Amino acid sequence: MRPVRTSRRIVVDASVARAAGEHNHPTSKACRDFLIEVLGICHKVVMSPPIRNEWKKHCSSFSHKWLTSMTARKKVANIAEERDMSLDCSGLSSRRQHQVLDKDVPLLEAALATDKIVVSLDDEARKLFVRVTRANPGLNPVMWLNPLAQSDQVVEWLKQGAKTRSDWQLGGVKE
Amino acid sequence: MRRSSATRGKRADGRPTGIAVIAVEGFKSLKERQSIDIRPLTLLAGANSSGKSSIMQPLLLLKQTLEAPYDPGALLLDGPNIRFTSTKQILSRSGRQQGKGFGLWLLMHESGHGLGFSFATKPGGGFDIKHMLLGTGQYPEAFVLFPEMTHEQVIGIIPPEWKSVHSSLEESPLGPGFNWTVVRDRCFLSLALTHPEMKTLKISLDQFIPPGMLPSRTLSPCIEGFIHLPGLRGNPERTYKTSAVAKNFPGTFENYVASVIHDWQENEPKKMDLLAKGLEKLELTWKVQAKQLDDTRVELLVGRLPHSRPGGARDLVSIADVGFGVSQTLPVLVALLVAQPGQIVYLEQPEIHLHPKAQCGLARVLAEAAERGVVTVVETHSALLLRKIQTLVAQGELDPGLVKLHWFTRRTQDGATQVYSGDLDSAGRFGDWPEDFDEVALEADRQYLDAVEARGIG
Repeated sequence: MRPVRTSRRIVVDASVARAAGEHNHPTSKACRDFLIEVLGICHKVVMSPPIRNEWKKHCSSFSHKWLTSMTARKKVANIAEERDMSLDCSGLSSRRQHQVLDKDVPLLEAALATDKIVVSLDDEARKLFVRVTRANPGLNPVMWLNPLAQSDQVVEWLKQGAKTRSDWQLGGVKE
Repeated sequence: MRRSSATRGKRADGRPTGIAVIAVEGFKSLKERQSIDIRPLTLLAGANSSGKSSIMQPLLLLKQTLEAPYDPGALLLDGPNIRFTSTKQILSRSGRQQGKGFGLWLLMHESGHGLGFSFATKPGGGFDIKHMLLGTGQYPEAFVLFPEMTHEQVIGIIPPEWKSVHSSLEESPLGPGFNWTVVRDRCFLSLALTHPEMKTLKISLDQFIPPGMLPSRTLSPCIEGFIHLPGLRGNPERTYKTSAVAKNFPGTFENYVASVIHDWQENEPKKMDLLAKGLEKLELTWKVQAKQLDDTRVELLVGRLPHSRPGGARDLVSIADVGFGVSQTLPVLVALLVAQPGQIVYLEQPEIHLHPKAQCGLARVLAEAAERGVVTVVETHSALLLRKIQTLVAQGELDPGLVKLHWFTRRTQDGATQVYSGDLDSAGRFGDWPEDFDEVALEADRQYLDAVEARGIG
């Protein structure tokens, strides 16, 4: 039997799904490595209706196969859409910043409803979420990882059970 | 409307039929005891040499032993279904040490009958039955027969009804003085009553006990009814030898295909229609015809095109003149159509020589056979076949209760086979596997994309 590991439910942004099928070195490779590792380990991917829609729009052939395999292995955690999240975004200055944040709110909602892990290539959104954590302390425990930026650690982190790391949490990031 | 899985694979009296569980130990890579549940669609998957065939081969040994025209001993090693020339090729190894025997256990649906065989090498070569375990399902304890058992040992273990056979003979004009003796009948051990003063008299227990009470009598027809289609199904021929067409098909099935088709042409037009539809579904051909050339030979003709066209009824060619896909898949379809509900069809890699699209079509053919109650054991390397079966379940076209998946792997340290078994849920999902085809396909894609990136081509 395979060793029993902790299974964590991870929200994976469509940016990772798209990049995995591209030839954009080293981002694409980092995304592929991350997805294959999740498939091999017992972790699950979280899907809510808005996340699934984004995946459908941006999914590459590689990540489509990956999601099919995850589905067949009962490794997709389907959740209902959460619509009651309201953020205090008074710290943001521009309309564009609000748009970026709005676009990725479904990721945060899904993460808060599950194991509070988001994997995304979108560093701009991460920085904005970090900025609003002071006014929205509920976001503090959410870990936001970039498979490229943390590529040297992410595989081992997954293997070790994707445990909470305060330096990856929105509330623990020093900007 | 689809019948529920609870009503399929059952006899007219409502009881399920055939083999429910197969367990094997000490046979090739199956060093430790591994077992598989048998359902109407039983799928065996895994890497090459992972033990998929090995778990079925002991049954093939029983089949060729029971079907041999002479008594070949406890097991016929070199026969039409499976060919061994030495016990060494069969027995599991641990390092340099070779095992001395192997075990096979079969649990039957009928009354919970169970049979366990322990075969051991014998000094002159080949195998002997070391002991046989019988469970009738009507008694809480199974009991073991072995060749050297004394009368007293037999009396001590057998069910009361069997003992009464002895008592009735003792009271007959022949008695007293009868002794129970363990006798070998091909690959089974059974009981007989002998009398020390009448050397030639041997009265078999079978003469007194109803067939349903004896596990071996329940298993024999099941094994002999086994339809076996090996991975190598022969080259397409210009003519095929005629064969008998009955419920049982001794040896391997490809030898019967031409005559079965000829028989259907004469007597079962519905089967011919289903066969043509099946072949067309796989886009192989739309028509097949068997032409008897003389008393010994049948020619198989097939439509040259995958679908019928106006005036195409005469556009037939010999099966030897079309692609291998037709000649290798035709026996699969015929076997699935000829099998009765409850009869086991063992297919080794039915997908060989098939285009991916046809592999998807094959999944539907297998599903239809399962729905009819045929018990198909499929050994496969086709990711597409598995995925299509999952899809049929998710689409509500195949009852997940009819399907069982067994994944075979070999332990890195010693090469021993380990079997992981799973059920499909109503969404066709099978859960986490040790490794599956998808992982291999994704890894291949990853390596390709990484290599393209490394060349700096965006």
